[in-house]
Amino acid sequence: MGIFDFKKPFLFFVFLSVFSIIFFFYLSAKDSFALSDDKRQNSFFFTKDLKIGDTNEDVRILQRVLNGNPETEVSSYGEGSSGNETVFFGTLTKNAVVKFQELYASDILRPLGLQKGTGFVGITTRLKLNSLIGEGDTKKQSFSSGSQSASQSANSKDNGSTSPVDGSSVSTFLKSSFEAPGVRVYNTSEYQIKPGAMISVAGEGFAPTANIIHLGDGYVIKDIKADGSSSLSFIFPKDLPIGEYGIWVENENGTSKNQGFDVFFLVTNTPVKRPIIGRVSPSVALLDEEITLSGSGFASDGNNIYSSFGNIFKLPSSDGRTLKFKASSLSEIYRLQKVANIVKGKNLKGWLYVESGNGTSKDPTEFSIKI
Amino acid sequence: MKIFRISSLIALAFLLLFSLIPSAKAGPPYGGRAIFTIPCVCSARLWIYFDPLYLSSSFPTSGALEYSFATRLYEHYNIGAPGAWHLGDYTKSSRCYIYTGKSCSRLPSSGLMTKAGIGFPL
Repeated sequence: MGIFDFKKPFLFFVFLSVFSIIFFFYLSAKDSFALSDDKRQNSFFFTKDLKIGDTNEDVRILQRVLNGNPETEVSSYGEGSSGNETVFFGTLTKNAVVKFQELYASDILRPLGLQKGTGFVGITTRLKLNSLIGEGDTKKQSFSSGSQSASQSANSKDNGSTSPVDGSSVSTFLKSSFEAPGVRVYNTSEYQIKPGAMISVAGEGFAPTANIIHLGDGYVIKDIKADGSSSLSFIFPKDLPIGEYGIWVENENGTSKNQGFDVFFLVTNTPVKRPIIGRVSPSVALLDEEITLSGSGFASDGNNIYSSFGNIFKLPSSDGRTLKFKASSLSEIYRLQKVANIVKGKNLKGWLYVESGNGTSKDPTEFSIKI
Repeated sequence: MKIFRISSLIALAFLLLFSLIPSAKAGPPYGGRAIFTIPCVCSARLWIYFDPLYLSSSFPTSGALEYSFATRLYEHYNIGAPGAWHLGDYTKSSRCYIYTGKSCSRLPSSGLMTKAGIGFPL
């Protein structure tokens, strides 16, 4: 009977124990298969923000990517030129980054509401760089840095799109964001704030105590307790001069200053309420049909719409209570047109916000379109 | 005989325990066809709109789920590729923030994908 002679209790115990252990390792390994498959996609990603003055190997890779396209090359000769890339992020690199950002403005600048390149390699620039590396789309140039190399991703051949948010490049976007700061600030409870008023800040990574709040470059409020890991409240300084300020939070988890986008608020003695959207009509709009938003607090001009179908900038409102636009004007609507064969005739649900000079509408407003 | 019973019980307890550990991590299942994606620039996630979208205990609908670096990705890896069918587990933890000019605003979704197996896009 050998090992299966269960009349011997000890042998049976050993058999079951060994089986349990093997089964446990099988289950653990099963979960790690996906990770190892995932890891094989790309071996280099821009995971850190880069700016003028930086000196590291990522800058060399950045210059190689930039030099892969004549429109964004760092220099045509000498240091920084193709084959002579360096680890120093100087003025030439910054200028090339600006050109790169403006070349891919819809992917890099538009999501941040920017019109011109900044030269700072933040989250959306890294996203685009990583997507190009992942797709081997910089004149089919290969990149290497020491033992690291960036080759075409395992699945990029399945996806011909160059969009940074399609297919494999999605993974690169998220990987590129992985080393983002542990502290983030999303928004403040009000955009326009009176000195001395109470304000709440929404974000993540807030410490239970000892949070330091920076208001612009000159004002610091220390030892703020958080209401949880995602909210903290404090009384605004009464002596803060009138004007618009950026806000960031610093604590044991890091700082939100380098999060790649800025959160602003306006100090004023006469705060105005943010825009409110009351109604959307029609409830389902065709692409070329006019959509009307009814509400209050819209500016006479310079209203911006941010939605899950893209953005529209500088919309006028003659009465401050209505805004009109066509779905076809939303910047990302072309993505739907690419898959028109799938979505034709269906109601597609979206959400939007309106930002005027008075701040951004508080809650997402639902609307629907039909291709 | 007493030793036999005790050892059997101990071994079976181990077996049961190890079997339950992985399933305890799984959330409710979902399935659907991706239509388009929006990067959650402020919160490092990806918002994926599905039509149709099958969530547990409900009839087919349309809507969004989020993908993050923590999502476990399975073949064929084309996460969010338009037309590709997705299948996996999700949790109801939603946190997609897009940039809206002066600050970040939340884009609603049904939750975060914890696992995603993806077919080929059309």
